[in-house]
Amino acid sequence: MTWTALALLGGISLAGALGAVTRYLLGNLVTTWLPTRFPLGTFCINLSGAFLISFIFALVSHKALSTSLQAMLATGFLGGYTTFSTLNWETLLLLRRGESIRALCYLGGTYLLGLGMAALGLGIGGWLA
Amino acid sequence: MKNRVTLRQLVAVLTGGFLGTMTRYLFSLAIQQALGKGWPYDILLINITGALLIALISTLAETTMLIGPTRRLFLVTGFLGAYTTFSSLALGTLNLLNGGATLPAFLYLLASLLGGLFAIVLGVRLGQGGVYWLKKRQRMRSLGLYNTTHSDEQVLEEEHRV
Repeated sequence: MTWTALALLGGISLAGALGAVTRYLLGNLVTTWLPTRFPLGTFCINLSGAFLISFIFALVSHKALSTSLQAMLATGFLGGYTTFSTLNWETLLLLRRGESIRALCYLGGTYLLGLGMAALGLGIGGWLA
Repeated sequence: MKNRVTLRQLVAVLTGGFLGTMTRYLFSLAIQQALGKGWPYDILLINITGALLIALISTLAETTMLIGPTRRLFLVTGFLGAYTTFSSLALGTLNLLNGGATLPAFLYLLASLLGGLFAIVLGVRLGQGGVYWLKKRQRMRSLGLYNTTHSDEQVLEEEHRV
């Protein structure tokens, strides 16, 4: 492994650590301000992350951003910020409590709106670049 | 009180997130080298294994003393939260769609959706199996029956007598 590759690995991991902390703090904030039985924190985090990753992707494909910066921001920060494991776990928690409708809205809503937000990010990013 | 974030908690999430992101990046490179970049095998495999582990670890944390709150924050919120990703899943699907690969995009979504749920159910089962095994061992130990070959019924019988 070369020094450049090692530096990239360190940078991506560090960005991911910051993404994870941002998710933790933002999740806490959302559940404090808007206490609902719907997992609103993870929901907002995954949707905003889907928007941002596509936005960055669009900037990179228009050469407005370098690929190493993309690796840090997208693979690193947004990868650590968004989560798939918690999404599925929270769906199970809702199902366990017998809240099937809410579980369906949460999982289906994250997938559908997540794709929508990604499309929006791609569009806005391409338009701005 | 519940919402006050301590430095200890932040460090747990930060270190877990660092290691989780590093694992995802390296694992993703290895999978791409083995299976190619044509379809997002890497993210799918990472997400599904992460879902299995979150269910396993959370089940153990809920029912045993093995994993305390800080350890859970490190493993679940930090490591697994950063190891798995939703943003790459969304962008990967969109890129397949934009490239005209409608069926591969649909399969990717379906595999993530069903695979994630299946992994959660499997992880809970494994966790419950682990808890059962631990409790049985603990029970046998407390009754001085450890290292003997008593069946479950015999252990319960001994427990009733005590």
